[in-house]
Amino acid sequence: MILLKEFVLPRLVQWLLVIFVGVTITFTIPRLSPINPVDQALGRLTAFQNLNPEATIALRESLLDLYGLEGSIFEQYIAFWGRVIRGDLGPSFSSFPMPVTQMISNSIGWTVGLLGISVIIAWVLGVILGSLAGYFPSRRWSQVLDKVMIIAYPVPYYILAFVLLMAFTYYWPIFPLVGGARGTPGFTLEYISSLLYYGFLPALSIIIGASAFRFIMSKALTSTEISSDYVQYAEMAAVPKRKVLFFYVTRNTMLPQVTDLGLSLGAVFEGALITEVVFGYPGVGSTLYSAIISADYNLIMGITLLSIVGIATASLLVDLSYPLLDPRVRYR
Amino acid sequence: MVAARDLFRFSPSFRFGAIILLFVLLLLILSFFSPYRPDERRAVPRNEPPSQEFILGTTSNGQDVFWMLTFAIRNTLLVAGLAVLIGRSIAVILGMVSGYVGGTLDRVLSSFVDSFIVIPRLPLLILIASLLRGEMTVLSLALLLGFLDWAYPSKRYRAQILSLREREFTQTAVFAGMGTLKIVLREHLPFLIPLLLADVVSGFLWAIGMEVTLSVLGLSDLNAPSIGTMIYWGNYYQALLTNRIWVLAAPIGASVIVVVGFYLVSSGLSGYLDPRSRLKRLQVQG
Amino acid sequence: MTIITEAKNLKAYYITQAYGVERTVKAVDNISIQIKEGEVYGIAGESGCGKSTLLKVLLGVHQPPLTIVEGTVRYTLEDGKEVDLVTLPEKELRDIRWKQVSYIPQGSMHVLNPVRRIRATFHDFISAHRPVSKTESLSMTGAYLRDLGLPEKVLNAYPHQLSGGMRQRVTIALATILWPRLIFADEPTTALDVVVQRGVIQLLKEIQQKKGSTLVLITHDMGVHANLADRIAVLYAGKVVEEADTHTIFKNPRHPYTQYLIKSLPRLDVREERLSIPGRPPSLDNPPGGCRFHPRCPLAIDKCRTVDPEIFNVGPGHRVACHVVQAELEVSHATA
Repeated sequence: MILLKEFVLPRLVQWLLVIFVGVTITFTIPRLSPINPVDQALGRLTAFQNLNPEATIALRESLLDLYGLEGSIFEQYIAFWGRVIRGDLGPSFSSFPMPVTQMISNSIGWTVGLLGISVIIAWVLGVILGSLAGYFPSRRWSQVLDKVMIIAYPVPYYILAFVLLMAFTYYWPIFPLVGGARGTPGFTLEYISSLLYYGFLPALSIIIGASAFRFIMSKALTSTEISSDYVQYAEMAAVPKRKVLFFYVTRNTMLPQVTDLGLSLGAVFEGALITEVVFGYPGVGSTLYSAIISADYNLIMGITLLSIVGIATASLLVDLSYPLLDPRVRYR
Repeated sequence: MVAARDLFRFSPSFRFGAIILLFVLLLLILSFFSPYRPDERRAVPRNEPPSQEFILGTTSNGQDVFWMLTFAIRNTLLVAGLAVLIGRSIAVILGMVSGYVGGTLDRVLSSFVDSFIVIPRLPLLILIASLLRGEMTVLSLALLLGFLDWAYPSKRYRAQILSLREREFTQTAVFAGMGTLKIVLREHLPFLIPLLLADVVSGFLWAIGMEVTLSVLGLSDLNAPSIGTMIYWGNYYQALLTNRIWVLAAPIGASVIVVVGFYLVSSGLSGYLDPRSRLKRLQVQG
Repeated sequence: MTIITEAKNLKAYYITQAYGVERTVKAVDNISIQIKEGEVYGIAGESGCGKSTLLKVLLGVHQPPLTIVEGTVRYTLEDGKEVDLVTLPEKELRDIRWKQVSYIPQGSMHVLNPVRRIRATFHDFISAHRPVSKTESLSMTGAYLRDLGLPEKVLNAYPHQLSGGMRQRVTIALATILWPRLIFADEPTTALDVVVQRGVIQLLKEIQQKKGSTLVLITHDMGVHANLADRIAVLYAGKVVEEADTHTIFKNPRHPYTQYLIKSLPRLDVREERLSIPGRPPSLDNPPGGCRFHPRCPLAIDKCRTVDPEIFNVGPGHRVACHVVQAELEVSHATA
């Protein structure tokens, strides 16, 4: 009961606050824009494609509702929340009248599959290598690994992905340039292996980028941890090194690491954009990219809201898992 | 100055980083002596590979890649520098208000900052940039990035100020009748500066990454040469498929050099400012 | 009586180098001591005098930047074999630890892994030296705790759930579970309140007496030494300045520093202001020349400022390093 009141409740409140702030910002941005987004959107749309008059009217209404411009700002705000809670984010402009939510749900599986798995692999890899390198800092391999990661870490992800793409689809074309899979979806060996084949390069780019950061963080945490009294004491007592590393060092670095894993899993919708654009992978990121190109504000806004909710929820779940990770939170 | 000399001598990562950044600075200065204007097209023959005349080749727009690169570095660093300046100013002010005033204001501000940290910035950037498309300038991009990059640093400054406020020398200064402003400027600011320095570098890295990302998506001012827009135009004219790799290699190489330089300098600095290594540097005391 | 541990001309310095500044801290400077089997050997001195460093070197757990510059640390093992810790391979060193030589760290709260239950920590430490299953180590630990009068239920707890005193007792049990012949204890009672201190001292005494183990006790607290130690060595700035049996140290201290240490102890029968030692202990990376105590010594003569005094015998088992004492002794010899 105390745990619930002192631990769960404040975190739920924080979760609601994040969503509140995020939705409010998303609501405010178009209204601060010097351009009337409705007119601009309609202008663009009619310039790009022929819409029938009914569609234009329906669009105009939903646009006015979402961005803006009817009623007092407070009424608009309430109406906006109403739509968000109902999950009705209006129709997409570019694929009218398909609802934004449906477009997102069509592509979300690809993103969650590719990025979710790669982020987890990168995390595990980074934690393992970082702990080892931090625990044996004077070994040759550890120092080489350290140098490699320090060079790889600050490189903008876009550049990394692009270089990989150039290398493995152009100069040495062993991977496909675009696409998510080949053949009809199903649990066939052929389909699954093509999934892996198409996903390999994008996954590799994420793993390299994300595990470099994880490595540096894990190594830093490990070096602090090995100077702690309990690690030194266990070392002194000649507890086997592998046991010390696992149960005394790495186990104690888990709290910040798992926090970060949760946050990076929540951020996959954000990260998806560049990966999917560079590798032509179908998913939320590609959908967002085509929305940017065709000025499909509804869709952009929908994906923005989704990523805010996604990351807020991930951070809530992570916070709620603290008692499992740390007995000091569990028993007070 | 002594610190810079010591760092240069004894920290290999700082030395490499500083040399790289000096080289970058040289390129930036060269941009002022460019024989072409940054927005001038068809100034030179198009699609020339690197040669004696055009050391990094020319673009499909008929621009000399080398001189474009000098402009690109200038603009990208300008965007990043302004963004960092704006973001850190907001962060310092918020952190100080939160840390010194305390009470209800601190609680409200802190939970607001905590929420803002969690909110993903790239989608917001894209939303804003796509609304402003066509109106974006180098300056507005810098403003935009700056206004999105203050939450995490402000949280760190607040924590640092809270710990400074509790320390003994603050109490001593208060009893000695020193004014609050004086205490903040004289006694506390020196402690914030190392934190600020490390933060500035990570802010630079973020801003450069975002500039590249937004430009590649075609969301920034595409007529102003920057590392990102150079890549955008390279992609636009299919540099990869038409085998004109030099158009892309220059901005990609430049971005890697710039970020690695910044990162090396920062890791050298943070090693130097680390209290444990500071202890080792002290000559006396057992 | 066998000598279980002997340090000879031991010099251990912290040598660090950062950004062009090299520092050498002479934390253990030419120390020779012998510890006899079955005794309680106390090492006393102010904080920062090199006590903990000496202990690290005696245990063979020193790591860079701490380096042994000179000297030997010899152990006599259970089977009568003699080894030198300085040259002993790491594997053998790990092998004798806990089974033969063990260590009770400073009474702090951070020695036990905060995310591991006490019983798991015990299992880690036991199974590192004996091939035991989890159930075996658990019953072993349970029996040992009962023996020492500690509640068995602590085994299921996490460290943060125990009080400071209980944590320290559990740590003592953890250090001695394999009945080592030689136990080093570093400030075992510091950071505990007085009532708890007594219990911990009792526990140490009990463990030491049960199997006649040797206990090397390091603390700045002369009261604890009076309670437990058979012999005491007094350390000042990385050197042994006096060594004798406990009675002699308290009743007939010869070195001016020891005299100060004893005089500064509170006494109930004499109600006068206690003397404290003037000045501060010297920094070890730039110690004063000659006798290191001379800047604070009321008896200092010219020789003290230039010549480092050798330690010499003033009586049976009583060694002092002081020019003034030596001069007095020579005078009394001459008159006798």
